[in-house]
Amino acid sequence: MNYEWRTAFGYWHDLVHAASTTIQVTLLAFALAVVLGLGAAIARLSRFWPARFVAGIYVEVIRNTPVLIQVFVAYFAAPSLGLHLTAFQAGVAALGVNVGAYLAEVFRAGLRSIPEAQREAARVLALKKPSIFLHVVLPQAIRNVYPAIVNQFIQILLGTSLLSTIALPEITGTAMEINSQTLLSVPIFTMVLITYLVLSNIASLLFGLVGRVAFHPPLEVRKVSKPRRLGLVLPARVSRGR
Amino acid sequence: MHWGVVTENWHLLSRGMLTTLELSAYAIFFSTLIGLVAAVMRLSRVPIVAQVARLYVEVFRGSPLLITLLFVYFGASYGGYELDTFPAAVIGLSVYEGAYVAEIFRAGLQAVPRSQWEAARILGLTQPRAFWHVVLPQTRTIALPPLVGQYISLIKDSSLAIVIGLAELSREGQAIVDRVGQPLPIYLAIAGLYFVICYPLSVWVRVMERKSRYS
Amino acid sequence: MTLLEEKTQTMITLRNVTKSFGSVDVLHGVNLDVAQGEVLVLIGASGSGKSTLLRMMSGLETVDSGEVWVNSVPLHDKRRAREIRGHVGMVFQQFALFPHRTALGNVTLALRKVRRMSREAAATVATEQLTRVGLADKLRSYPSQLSGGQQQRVAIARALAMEPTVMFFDEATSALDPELVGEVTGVMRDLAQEGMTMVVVTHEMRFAREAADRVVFMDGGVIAEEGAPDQIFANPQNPRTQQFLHRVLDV
Repeated sequence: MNYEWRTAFGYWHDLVHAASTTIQVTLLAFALAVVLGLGAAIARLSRFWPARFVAGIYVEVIRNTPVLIQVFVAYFAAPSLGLHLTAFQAGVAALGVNVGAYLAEVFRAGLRSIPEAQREAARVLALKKPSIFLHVVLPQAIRNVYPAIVNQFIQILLGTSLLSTIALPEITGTAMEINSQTLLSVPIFTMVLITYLVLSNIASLLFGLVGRVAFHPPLEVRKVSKPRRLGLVLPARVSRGR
Repeated sequence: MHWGVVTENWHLLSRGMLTTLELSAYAIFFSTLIGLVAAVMRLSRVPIVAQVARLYVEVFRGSPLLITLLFVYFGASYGGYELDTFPAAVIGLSVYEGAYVAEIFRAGLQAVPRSQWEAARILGLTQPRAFWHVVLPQTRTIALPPLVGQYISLIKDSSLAIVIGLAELSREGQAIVDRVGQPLPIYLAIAGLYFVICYPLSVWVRVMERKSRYS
Repeated sequence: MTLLEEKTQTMITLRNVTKSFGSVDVLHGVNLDVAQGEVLVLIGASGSGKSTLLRMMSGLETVDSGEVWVNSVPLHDKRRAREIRGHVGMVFQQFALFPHRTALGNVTLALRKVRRMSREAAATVATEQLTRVGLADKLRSYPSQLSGGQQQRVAIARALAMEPTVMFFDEATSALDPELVGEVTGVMRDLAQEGMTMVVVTHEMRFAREAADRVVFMDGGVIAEEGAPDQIFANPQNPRTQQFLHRVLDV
């Protein structure tokens, strides 16, 4: 048992290499997702019904079909349309488009959560629509839905594992290869699990730091919140509050 | 682009869809069970119990479903057990989605006002009875929309069973493409099938959310 | 214009203004003039149309029919209505401060984007205005760190920084705890003293009685009665006015 774990551990170098690919894809896909998501959210809230319609189709179709199929379309089916993407490009595109649809709903909720009085006050001060959006509405909207945005980032990070199906040398794919060569499945996949946990926690931490610094009042980003104890397993005394 | 491929291979695609639905049904059942238990454990006053539940939730929400599936499937043979692809997929999917269901139930349970518990206890109901007859039904109303939302995700996530070779819908599609090419029509058709299953459920979730807002 | 005409220049003119929201008629033919430097207070029950009237004068609502002239800008003309922006000030019941910006930042935003001032020039003007309302020590505070009264004073400073010709107050003190109302009405009184043209919708009868030049009582979408504060409060003619004052002043 020990020997196997040590051998598996010997492959950490490959995993680090794979992790760098994973991180690159995540960052690029997230950037794409934010752009698409914001654009779609604005489109869905506009008075121009074709924009609402197109954005609506985008969001509904993407959210009701599996990411895997979207990845396959980007990689296997796109060439039929003349678009030849590498696994990396297809991965970024598919994940970006996918999470973009989820971010569209997040941003839409955020934009709608701003009281109308904010826009009215800005209007009376003679601020123009673009200024109002950029300086009054957007900063508040982002703050209001920040945890949800962070959550979507992590979804992309974990979603990169799917790109193993199109032979991208990211973490999961690399692990599967090592496994097929060495059959050390449990040790290898345990290492991979830990890697993903570490990466997603680092991401949460970094976003949390940004949240504390950039927003006023400062924001806390917690993945799993503290529960109120209810004493359900033991016979309870009278509960005393948090 | 030869759209006839879809109709020619329809029997394979529908077989795949049935497998997907079967897998999803089992996983929905088990993940709900696991999630409910985990949520209750999470809220327990016994530190160990709560911590174990918390660990479970954090691990499976912080790692990809793919890894869970690979773990279950390959891990079984590593440990010396024989595990078929379908059961492996059910286990992996249930355990993974269960962590998300647990969070939904936890939020739902916490949303029920403390006074409900107290009222039930004062009336003489024991803890488990109070939970089952008073609190849980109220949780259901609050938790149902996000729960169905999670089930929709589950159905889509079932496509990942492809990596352990389960012949669900996506796998059938991949096999057809490997055989006759024409990825675009095939994958679009598969997307369409998933859409047809998931979209009505999405609409239902929205309707439920709208109703609960006006109640 | 002769000196006399300049002195008594009319700031705001409303002629036969009507407005409905869907099937609800909110204003039925309102006629009103507000002279320069006048402090006009609008009182009335909720639904009487007073807030709508105010919002119409500040350019936030459009008229269905009739004319609205503010500072020689025809607000009823959709094409020219936006000329009023930046020349009138509005203070909201819920303050409407930008929560993500400091007090200074709230005031400088429009100065920089609309008046195109440099950061230093804008900061200077903003500091002046915030000092004017008594908040010189709160420049770097965020709205969440300020009391309601302080927030409202920042809102007033923000409006004043744009050098408006008219200031509109939409129930500026209704959302404040009673002990904080005074610091805001104090600022409003100072403004009135300085000669600012003000239109104020309020429930604060004491302010109306002491600071208003003219009180207008609105009921059911029309002006039911108007006159000097002494007249209205001591000797209301219209039975509806009497009823309203009876209810409000007894509280």
